[in-house]
Amino acid sequence: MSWHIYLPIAQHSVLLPVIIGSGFLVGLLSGLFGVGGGFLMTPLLIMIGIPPTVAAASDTNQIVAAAASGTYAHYRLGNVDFKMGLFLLIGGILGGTGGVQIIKLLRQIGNADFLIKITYVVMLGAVGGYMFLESLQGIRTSKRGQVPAFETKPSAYARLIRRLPFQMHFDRSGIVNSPIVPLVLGGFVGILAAIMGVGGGFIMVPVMVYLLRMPMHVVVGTNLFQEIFTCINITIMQAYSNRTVDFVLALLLLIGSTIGAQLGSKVSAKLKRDQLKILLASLILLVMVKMLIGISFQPHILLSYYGGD
Amino acid sequence: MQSKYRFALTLGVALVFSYAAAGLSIETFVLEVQPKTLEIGTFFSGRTVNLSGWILTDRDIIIEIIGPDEKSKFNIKGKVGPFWMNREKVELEHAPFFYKLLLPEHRKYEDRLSSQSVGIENLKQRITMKPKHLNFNKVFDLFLQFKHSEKLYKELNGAIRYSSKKEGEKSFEASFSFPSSTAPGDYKIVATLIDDDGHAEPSVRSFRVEEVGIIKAIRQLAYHRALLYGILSVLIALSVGALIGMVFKRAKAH
Repeated sequence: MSWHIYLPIAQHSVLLPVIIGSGFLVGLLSGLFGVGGGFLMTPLLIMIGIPPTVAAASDTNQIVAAAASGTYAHYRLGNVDFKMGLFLLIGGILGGTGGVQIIKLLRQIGNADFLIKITYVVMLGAVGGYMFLESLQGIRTSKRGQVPAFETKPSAYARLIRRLPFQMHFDRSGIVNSPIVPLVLGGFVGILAAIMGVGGGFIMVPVMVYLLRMPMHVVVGTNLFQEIFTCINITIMQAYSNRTVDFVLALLLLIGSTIGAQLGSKVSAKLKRDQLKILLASLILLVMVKMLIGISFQPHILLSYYGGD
Repeated sequence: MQSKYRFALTLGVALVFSYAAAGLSIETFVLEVQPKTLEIGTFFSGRTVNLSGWILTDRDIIIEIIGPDEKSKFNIKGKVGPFWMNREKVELEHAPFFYKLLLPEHRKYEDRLSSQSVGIENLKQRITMKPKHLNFNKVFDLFLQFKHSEKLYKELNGAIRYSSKKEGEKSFEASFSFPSSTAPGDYKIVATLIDDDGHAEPSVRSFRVEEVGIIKAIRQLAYHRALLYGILSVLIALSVGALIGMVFKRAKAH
């Protein structure tokens, strides 16, 4: 029996254990930390040899499934702010639609794959670097037995947010905010999600915590809720506009990632989080360096198919 | 009546000799291709195609496998600031997607390829480029490098092996591979018989590479009913995700 499977849209044959294993590994990592499966998956797929545009679009497809199962779990615990999620997803849908058109335009110009890679270098560098430093600080702080200081004065940002119009109360999160903020932030994340082939969680979670000031127990569930619809929109738009969704690839990835995520969430309670976070941050930075090398040094082959395929 | 038959016989013999003199031989040539078509299905990961047959003892055979003119637009990478990215777009017309040249065991035909109008150098003469301001030789070298790395272009010395002989004929065998990135379409197998004087007689046979089964169905859906394909991709992802979620009773956030 052949262990190879042919991907009809990528027009590439891959080893079945490699694809399901990649999905499982990324799912395991995201199950351990609650976020960030997509942003590792797309670079992994590019390294395996999948064209970048197909990798990004198919990854978004598989995130739909993972986000849906995660949202349901959080809904049962009462951890989804649907009102906030609605504004985020409106922004996400608009941003995602725009991002798909950007990809379409760049495919015509001929640099869609470069944009995907450079966006990953920037975002992986920022997120990986931040996570690494934060984990290091967490380990040092817990060793010294220090308690982090609380903010006593509202920042300039907080004062700006309070001045925005249409202030409303978000009951589940227990905050007061203008819907303009989640609309704009959701739009920005939607654009990035379309370009990078991610659900946007690794950007959205810090946005929700630091810019929307939502409590952590509501953040993950609400993020997953808006991710479902953002990714559904991006998947359909990518399939319709760019013909880059490989459903077979997405299906194999989600089988692996959903199983991995379930296992990861069970294992995470038993492990030391800060040390694992530092390992994850190191892995993210390694992936970033690999991609940076790929675009900074002369490639072995200077010709590629037009369209990023 | 007898004179009519004599006339017909004479005419027949004269025709046979005139054909022979013109070099249009009515000679023995058998070519078997296995498999007869290449099917790209769910488990396709490339395939070896075997060629065999019989030719006259004093002939040699050269075989070309030529693909359709597919995927002929390319990006050329160049340095922009600190990064390497796509800088130029180029289109190569009459450049086949796939080209393999199978040469017989002894080497004498390497030097005579151009006179036989075969080989990659001969292909180069037929290819035209847009835009014209680019250096064609440099672009063609990049193109060849790309095609070699994809295992789509190759000249294979000694790929054709001769063996058993029967009266006046000898058998030949050869094989070549299609990689997993093979594009579907109509390919040509061009078998050229060459005699000791260098006279060549090409014979063309078509070879079909086609997607079959679920691969064909998915591609057709993706390209001809794209919106439906997108919606189905989402629905199937949701269903499979829900199914796996039900297997693990306590789902944690992903």
